[in-house]
Amino acid sequence: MSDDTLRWVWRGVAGAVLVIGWLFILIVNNFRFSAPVVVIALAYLAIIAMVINLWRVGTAAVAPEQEGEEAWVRPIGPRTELEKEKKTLLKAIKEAEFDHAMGKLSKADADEMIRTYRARAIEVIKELDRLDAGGNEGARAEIQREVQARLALEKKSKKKNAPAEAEKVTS
Amino acid sequence: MNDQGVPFSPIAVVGTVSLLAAYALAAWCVAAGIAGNARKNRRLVSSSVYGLYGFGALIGLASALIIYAFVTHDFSIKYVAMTSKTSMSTWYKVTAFWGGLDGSLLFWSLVLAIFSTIAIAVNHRRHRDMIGFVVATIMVVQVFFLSLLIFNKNPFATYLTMPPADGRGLNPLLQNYWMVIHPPSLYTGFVAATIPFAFGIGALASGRLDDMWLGSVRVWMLICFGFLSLGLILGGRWAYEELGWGGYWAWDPVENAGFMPWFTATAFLHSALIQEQRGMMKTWNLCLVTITFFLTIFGTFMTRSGAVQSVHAFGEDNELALDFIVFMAVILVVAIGLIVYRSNKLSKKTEFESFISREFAFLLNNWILLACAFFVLFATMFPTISEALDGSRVSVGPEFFNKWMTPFGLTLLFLAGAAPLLAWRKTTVERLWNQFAFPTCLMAGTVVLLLIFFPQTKELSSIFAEQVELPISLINFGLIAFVFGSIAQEFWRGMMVRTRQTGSDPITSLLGLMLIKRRKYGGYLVHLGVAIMFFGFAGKAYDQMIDRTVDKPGIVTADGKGASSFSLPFEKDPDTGKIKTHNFVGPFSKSTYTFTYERLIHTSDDHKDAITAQIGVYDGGERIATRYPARWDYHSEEGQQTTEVAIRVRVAEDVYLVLTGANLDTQQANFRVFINPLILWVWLGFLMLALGTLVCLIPQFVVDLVSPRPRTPLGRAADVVVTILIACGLVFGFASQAHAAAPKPATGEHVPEGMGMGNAGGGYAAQNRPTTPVAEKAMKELICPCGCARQDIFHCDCESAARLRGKVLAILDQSGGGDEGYKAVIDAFVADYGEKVLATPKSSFPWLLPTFAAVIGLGALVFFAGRHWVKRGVAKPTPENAAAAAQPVEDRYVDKLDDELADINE
Repeated sequence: MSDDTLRWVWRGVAGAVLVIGWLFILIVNNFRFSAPVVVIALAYLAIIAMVINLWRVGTAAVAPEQEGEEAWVRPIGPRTELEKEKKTLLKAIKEAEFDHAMGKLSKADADEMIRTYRARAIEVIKELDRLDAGGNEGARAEIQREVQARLALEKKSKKKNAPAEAEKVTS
Repeated sequence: MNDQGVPFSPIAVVGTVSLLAAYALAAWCVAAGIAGNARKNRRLVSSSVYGLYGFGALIGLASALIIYAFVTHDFSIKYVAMTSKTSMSTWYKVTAFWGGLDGSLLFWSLVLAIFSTIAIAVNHRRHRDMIGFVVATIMVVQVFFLSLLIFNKNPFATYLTMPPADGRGLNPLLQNYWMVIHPPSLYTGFVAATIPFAFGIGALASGRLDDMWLGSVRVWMLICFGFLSLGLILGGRWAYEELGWGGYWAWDPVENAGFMPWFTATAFLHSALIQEQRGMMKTWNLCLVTITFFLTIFGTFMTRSGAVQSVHAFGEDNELALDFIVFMAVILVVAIGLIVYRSNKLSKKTEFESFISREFAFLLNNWILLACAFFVLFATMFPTISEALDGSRVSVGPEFFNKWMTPFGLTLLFLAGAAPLLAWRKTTVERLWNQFAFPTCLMAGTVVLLLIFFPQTKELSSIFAEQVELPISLINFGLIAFVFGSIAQEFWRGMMVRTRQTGSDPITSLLGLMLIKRRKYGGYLVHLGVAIMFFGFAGKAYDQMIDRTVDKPGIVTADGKGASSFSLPFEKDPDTGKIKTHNFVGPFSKSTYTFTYERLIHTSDDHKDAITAQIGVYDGGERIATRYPARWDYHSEEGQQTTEVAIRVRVAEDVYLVLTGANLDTQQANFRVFINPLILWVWLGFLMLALGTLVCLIPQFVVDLVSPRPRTPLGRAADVVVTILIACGLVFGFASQAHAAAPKPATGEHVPEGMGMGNAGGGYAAQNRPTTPVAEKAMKELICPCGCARQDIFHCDCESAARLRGKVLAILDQSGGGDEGYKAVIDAFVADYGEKVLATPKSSFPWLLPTFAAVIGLGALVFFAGRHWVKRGVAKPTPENAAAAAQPVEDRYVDKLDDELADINE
C-alpha cells in the first residue's frame, strides 16, 4: 500500500472514530443539542486531534535518518537574491509608469528612472541566464538537489513496504 | 465530594492534567525546534511542528473543559464560582471564560495556539530552514503563559471545603454585548503580534534575512492592526453606552495598553512597504516587530500586576508582576542580541534620494507613531514612576494626554493626506502644485466656510503647554478636508489611468484598480476612515453637559412644554450675578433641545430592580423621541447600581440622557444631559477603517479568480452588481450604527408605589454645580478621590465629588474668584490630598522628558535621512546602473524584459 493510500486510510479511521464518538455523545444525551453537549463534542474533537498529533510527534522524532536530508534545507543562493531583485525592479518600473500617469513624475524624471531600472533589470536577467547555463548554482543544480532528496525519501518508504510486498508474492 | 469531604471535580482534574501535558509538550517543541534548525535535522523540526499542533489540541481541550464547567455550573471550581452564576444566560456563561484573570490567560494561550497552528501550517514548507526557530519562539511564549496558569493562576483550582451553592456571577458592567466582543478582539490583536515576532526571531536566528519572512508576517501584522482597532473601538463604544459619563475615551491605562502596540503595528505596516520597495529599513522593521510584541506583553503586565490603577485592571499581584518583568527582560535581551549579532547581514547601502518622496513621508510617520507609543507608555507609567522615585503618586489625567496627542494626531492626519500624493524615490518639484492643488484648495475652502458659518471653530485650545494656543478645531477640520481631497484625487486619477490603460468602463477600472493595487487603495480607505474618525473627535471640544433635579413628573402638553420641562441655567453672568438661561443648542445642527420628565417606572425581575424615567425629547418644540434612562440595582451586587443611558443618535450630535438619581417616594429625579456633537462619525469612521483593512487582506487567489476575462454584457453587469452590493453594504453598515442603544423600560413585574428601592443614586450629580467658568475649570482639574473611573469632580456623580465641589465653591467665594481663586483652590486640595489629586502633573519632569525625547527622535530622523541622502531630486548613478546604462542592449534581453513586465499583474 503506498504512503498516500495509507495516509487516507488513517484519516478515514480518525474520521470514523470522531463520528462514532459524536454519535455516542448524542445518543447518551437523547440527541439534545444543548450547550454542554456541543462543548463536550468539541472537547472530544480536541482529544482526537491531540492523540493524532502526539503520535506524529513521536514518529517524526524517531524516524531514521534519510539520505539527502541535508538537501531539505534550502540555503540562500545567488539565484534567489537575483530573482528577488528582478521582481523589485519590475515592480519599480510599473510603479514609475503609474506615478507618471498620475502626474507625480514629469516625463523626464519618469523616463530617467525607468531607463535606470530597465538597465539594471536587463543586467539581472543576463546574470540569471548565465547561472542557468551553468554557473555556480543554477536552477538545474537546485532541481537536481530537490529531486535527489525526494527520491531518497521514496526509496526509504519503498524499503519499508518491500517485506510486506514480498510476503504477498510468496503467499 | 470525595471520601474526605473535599470537593472533587473530574473536569478540574482533566483540565489541570491537560495544562501540565501542554506545558511538557511546549518545552519539547522549544528544544526540538531549536536543535532541529540549528543542526539541520528534518526529523526534529517536523516533530516540533506536530508538537505545536498537538499543543493547540491540548489547550483546546482545556478551554472546552472550562467552558463545560461554566455551562454545567460546576461551582467546585473557584474560577467558575467567581465569574458565573446559575441565573446568567448561556451566552454570558461562555464569555465568562475570559471575564477573569485566570481565564483570560488561558484564552490568550488558546488564541495564540489557533493562530500559530494556521501560520505554521501555511508557512512550514516555504520557510523550512527556519520554521523550527519560529516554532520554538512561539512555544517559549506559550511556556511562559502556561507557567503562570499552572503555578500561579490555575483556572481549574477547586475549593478545599464546601463550594458555594451558586456563583457570584459576572460583573453587571461586563454583561453587555460590546464587552463580550471587546476583550477577545483585543486579545486577538495582542496575540497576532506574536507571529511576526516569531518569524523575525526565526529570520535572525537562521540568518535568512531576505524579504521572504516579511511577506509572511505582513498579513499577520495587518490582522493585529485590524483586531486591535476593533478591540479599541468596541471598548470605547462600551464605555459610551455603559458607564454613563458621556465619553468614550479617557486615556485609561487599560485602554492605553491596547493603544501602544497599535501605534507600532501601524508604523511597521508602513515601513514594511519601504523594505519591499527599496530594500531599506531591515533592522528597523525587525526592531518594530520586537517592540510591538514587547508592548503587548507590557500592556498585559500593566493590567494584571497592579502597576497601574484602573477600574478595568485585574488587580494587584506582585508575583505575577515579577514573572512578567523577567519575561520582558528575556525578550529584549534575546531580540536585541540577535539583531546585533546579525547586524552585518542587515546593513545595506541604501540611497535616499529626496525629501519630497513617499519614503521620507513614511519615515516621518514612523517617527510620530513611535513618539505616540512611547509618550502614552511614559504618561501611563508616570504615576508609578513618580511613586517609585519620591514616594508620592502623581495623577495624569486626560488633559495631559490630549495636550500632546492632539498635535501628534494632527501631524499624522496631514501625512495621511500628503503621503499618497508623493511618488516613491522622488516627486518632481514642478508637479507638486499639480498634486497638492485640489486638496489644498478644498482645505482652504473648508476653513473659510467654517469661519463664516461656525465661528466657534476658531476658538483657541492649548497644545503641549498652556502658553501654546492654536485654533485646533479649525486646523482639524481643514486637515480632514485635505485628506478627503487627497484620497478622492488618488481614486479619481487612478481610475482614469486604468480606464485609459485597459479600455474598460470607469466602474470596472475602479474595481480592478482596488483589487490589483489593493494594498495601496485599501490603505487609502483606512486613511479615509481615520479622517472620518478625526471628524468625530473634533466634536469633543463642543460637548455640553448639564445636571438638573426635577421635583415631579409632569403632564406633557401639546407643545411639549409643561411644569416638568427643563433647560438649565448654564452660567452666572459675572456682571449682574443673574443666572443666564438658554436652551440646549446643538453647536453644528442649531437644534434647540428641551426635555420633559414624564414618569418614573419601577420594575423588578429575578436579576435586578430597575428605576426608569420616561423623558420626552423635543427639538424646537417638536417631539423627536422618547427615551428611558434608568438605574439598575442587581440583587447579587449589593450597593452597585449600573447606569443605563439613553441616547438619541443624530448625524450632528447625540443627545445623551443619564438618570443620576431618583426617589420613588417623592418622584424626584436627577438627570444629567449631554449634547455630544459629531460622535456618530467616530463609529462610522471605524467602519471605513475596517473596510480598508479587509481590502488589504484580500488574498491573491481571489484577485486571480476575478481577473479580466472576456468582457461580455453579463460580465459587465456582474461588476455593476458587485459595486451596488458593496455600496449597499456600506450604507447598511453606516445606518446600523445610527441605531445605538436606546433601552426601553426594563421588563419585569411592576412594583407598587411605596415598596422597593426608595432612593436610587441620591442625585449627587446635581449638587454644587459650578456657576462660573473658573469654578468649572478648577473642578475639571481635580480628580475625584472615590476611586471611580478616574473622573474629575466636575463629571463624577458620587457623593464625594458633590462634597468636594461644594468645597471648591466655598474657597472661590472666600478668595473672590479669578486666577487667585483658582490657585487657592488648587493649593488647598494639594495640601489635603497631595499632588495625586491633580489631573495634570505640575512638576516639569513629565513635560520636559517627552519634549527632550521628541527633539532627540526628530534629530535622529534628520541624521539618518541626511546620511543616506544622495542629492536632492537626482538619482545617484550607482556604478552598476551607470555601467549598465552605458552598454548597448541586445534586443532579445529587451524583449524578455518587456515580456516579464507584461506578465506582472499591476
